[in-house]
Formats: sequence, C-alpha cells, structure tokens
Amino acid sequence: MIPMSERFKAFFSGGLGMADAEPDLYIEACEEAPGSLADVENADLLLFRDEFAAHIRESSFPPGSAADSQWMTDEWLRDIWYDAFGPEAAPGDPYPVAPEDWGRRRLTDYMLHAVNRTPELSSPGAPAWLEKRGLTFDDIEAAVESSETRSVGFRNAPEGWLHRLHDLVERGLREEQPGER
Amino acid sequence: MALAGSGDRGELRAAIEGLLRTCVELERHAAEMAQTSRDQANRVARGLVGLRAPGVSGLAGEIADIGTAMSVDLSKDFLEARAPYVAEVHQLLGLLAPLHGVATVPALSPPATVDGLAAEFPAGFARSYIGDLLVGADRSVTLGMSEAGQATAPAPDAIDQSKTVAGSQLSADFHDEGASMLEDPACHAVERHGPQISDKAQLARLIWLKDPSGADAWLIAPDGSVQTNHRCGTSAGGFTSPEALAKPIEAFLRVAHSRANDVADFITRNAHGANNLGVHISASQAGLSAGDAFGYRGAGTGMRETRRDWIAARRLAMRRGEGPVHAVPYDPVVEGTDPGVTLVFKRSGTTWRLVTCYPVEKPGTTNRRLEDLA
Repeated sequence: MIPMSERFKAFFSGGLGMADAEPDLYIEACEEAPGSLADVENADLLLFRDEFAAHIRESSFPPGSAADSQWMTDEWLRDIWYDAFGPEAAPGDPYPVAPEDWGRRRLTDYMLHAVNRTPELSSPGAPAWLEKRGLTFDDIEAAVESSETRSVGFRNAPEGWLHRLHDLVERGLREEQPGER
Repeated sequence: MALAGSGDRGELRAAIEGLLRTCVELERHAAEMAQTSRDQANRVARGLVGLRAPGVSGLAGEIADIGTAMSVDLSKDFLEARAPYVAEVHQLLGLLAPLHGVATVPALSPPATVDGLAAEFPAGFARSYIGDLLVGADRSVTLGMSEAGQATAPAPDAIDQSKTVAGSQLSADFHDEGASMLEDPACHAVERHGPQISDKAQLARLIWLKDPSGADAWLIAPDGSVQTNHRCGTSAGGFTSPEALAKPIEAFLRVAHSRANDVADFITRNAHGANNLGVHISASQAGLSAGDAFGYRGAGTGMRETRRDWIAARRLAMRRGEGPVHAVPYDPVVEGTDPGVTLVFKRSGTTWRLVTCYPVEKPGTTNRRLEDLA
C-alpha cells in the first residue's frame, strides 16, 4: 500500500485539492501543471503524479466524510487528474472516463469555475486549457445548460465495485473504509 | 466499460428530499398545535384562579395538566405519523447505496426510541446523507439578484482599518511580519474574510459571486444575466473581529519561529516541491471560540458529488439572473467537527506569501496540520 506521502499532501493542500474552498487557487494549480503527461520534467511533480495515479488505481485516497463514498472520491480524483494533466487517463485507471464525455457529459471543477461564457469573463489561461483538450467555450456552455435535465457529474458505481474494494484491501493496497461491508 | 448514467441518483435524491420536507413540516405543525393547546389550557386555568368557589384551585391545576398531556400525546402521534415516511426514505436510501458504491444500508431502529429525524437512520452513509439534506430543508436562506446588487462593498479605508487593527493585535515579536503578510497584494485574507464584510455581503458573494471588496466587477447585463469574474467555492465567510483574524496568524508565526530560522525555511521544507501549501490550525491552537467566525455554506453541499451539482446550479442561476441557490448560515467553530483555520501560502522565488486565511469546520483530507509540520 502507498500511504499518502507528505509530498502528495503538500501538492493537494494548497491547490489541486482546493476547488471547493478556493477555486482561484485550484485554477492556478491546474494552469501551472503541465497539461499533459509527456511534459512533466520537475522531479517532485513526477513523484507526485505517480503517487496520484496509484491512489486512483488502488482507491487509496480516503473519503472525506461518511457521506462521501470511495467511488465518489475516486471520481473526484479523475476530474482533478483531467484538469491538471489532460485527457489521457491516469496509468492503470480501472474505470477511465470515455474521452468524448469530458466537457460534454462530464463537467469538472475547472470547467465550472474557470470557463465562463466568454474569454473576458474566464480565467486568462482558459483558452489554452480548452485548446489542449480539444474543447471550446461553447461546448462547456452547452453542457452547463444541459445540466438542468441530466447529470453532468460523477457516474454511478459500477457492478462489482465493493468486490473490487474488498480485493484491494485483501491485497494490502488500501485500508478498508466504513460502510464497505 | 460502459457505466450507468447518474440521472437516477438525482431522481432518488429529489424523492428523498421531498419526503424529508414533508416530515419537517409535519413536525412544525405538531409543535405548533402542541404549543397552542398548552397555551389555551393555561389561559383557561389562569382565568379560574380568580374564582373563590371551593375546589377551584385544584381544577385549575388539572386543566393546565391536560394541556401538557395533550402536547405529549401530540408528539407521540407525530412520531407514529412520521414512521411510514421514514420507512420510505430508508428504502430509497437502499436503492441509492449501490449507486454510491457503499454496502447495504442497515435496518432502521424501532421508531420513537431516538431523538431527531436524522438519528432515526443508521449511522454512516445513511445518517450523513439525510443530515446533509435536513440542514438545507430546515435552515436554508437565499438572496435575490437585485438584493445582492444592493450589498455594497465596504469603503476602502474599512479594509485598511481591519488590517491595521488585526496587525496591532499581534505580539511585538511577530507584529511586523504578520502585518506585512496581510498587507501583501497577493493576500486576500482581509478583503474576502475580514470583519468589515457584512453578513449580507458574504451571502451575496456565495449566491451571486459578488466580490465583497468591490475589486472584481459585478454587473447585471441587458439580457438579465450576471457578469463577473469573481469566484467563490461552496462556502463564504470569515472572522467577526480583527482580533479573531489575528489569532491564527499569531499561532502560525509562533510555531514557525520556534521550529525554524525563518518562516520561508519552515514552509519550504514542508512543501516538498509544491508551489502552494495549505496549513490547518485548530481552533483551540489558534484560541478561537464561539462567535469568532461566521459564514454561509451551500445547502446540501455535504458531499463531493452534491457540491458539484450545487456549483452547476449556481452557474445556471447566474446565467439567467433567477433561481438562486440556497445556503445555510453557520459558525464554523461551533458547528465544525474539527474546526480551525486554513492558511494558504504561495511560493514566490525563495520566499512565501500568505494568500488567504479563513475559518473552516474541519481540515481538508490533505491539509497539513500545524502541529505535524517538521
């Protein structure tokens, strides 16, 4: 099992984990990240990224409260991964999001906070961020409009999910969380 | 692998919320009826007190007792009346659990043995889920767009004054350093979380993204939409006095200087290469108590998935200029499970700048605790 390292906590604590509290800092952290896996050169960032992928693969980032399940926590992590590193799923992600869903059937925190109707009302980094991911301002706006009648958020947990969690616990890759038995 | 859509989750949530609202209204009516019956019986009893006929004083007592007994009966009936709703909600939670990836919801306790609606549900996912919805159903408030427009920004000297007074609260050893942290243009601790911000302005920030410092433009466009590039998460709030704002800064500087040569060294060695560092200082370590902090959080935002829905709903409301989202007033120090303050620092060359400082109900999963920093 990979316990959450101090490095990982530091990278999350002031930026990538902050969308709900300080969206400005989240946006900055996403724009400072390289936006694609191939571009990562900074050694600390490489280590952080590898650990991030492991937490997604092994469901080892614990939920924040009893109402947050491991599945929803992992879905949240997938969004952050996309916002920071782009559309290529984390290595070994057992449930990658369909690439065509991003920005259409699935809105992330970057899309909701940083991308507004026009570039003037958006984060200065938004045009470059969208272009790297093959999206437009109009795509995001249309998805926001559609959010009234259909979900553009996290998916439902898949069949066999609890079984997978139990297996990961038995293999010593994660700690069991309340409500999984 | 194709995964099921999540629309059904939203429908289940709406159904549960509808049933809970019914229970909340039932309870309100039952409490009102009980109160009315008690008041009336007491009035009748008081009317008798003046009479001098033999045996009347005993009768007056009996009548008052009837009023009390009646209200006890009503609350018992109320619990019985609520039971079928509770059972339905429990069944819906059973359908919801696998969609969230949690195990079967345990059975309900026998009715009327517990206190409060949320406590009727088994501890864990079910009770937390219901608790989150109930807070919204019971206590939520909102603000219309034009009301938000009237929430005026404090005069610029009010912001400066908050900074000066907060700085003056710091002990002599830390005064200069702490005051310059708050003065730094990169820092918005006072601008967004300072005591000069009215409650209404905090609510206008949360519901309609109106910058409480007035620095970010905010206007209602001809098409009725609200235009701004100010941003806010799922809560807004701050410190109720400059003294309270100064407390976590003092606590941080004290620990930093006791463990390292200077603040920059202290943060750098705990940042492990990250450009930002978020630090949690517990309310007890900072010396914060009830009333030192106040704010609003989005109604029904107790879970990661629902926080996202709430943000999307706010964005739609901003686009249309109507249908505002709801929020719940709270004192993070009183209501929090592990309350304190988050301080965020940002790397700037070889030094660090304080970006913000705000009260929280509990630290984020990855926030570093001040006492754990090396």
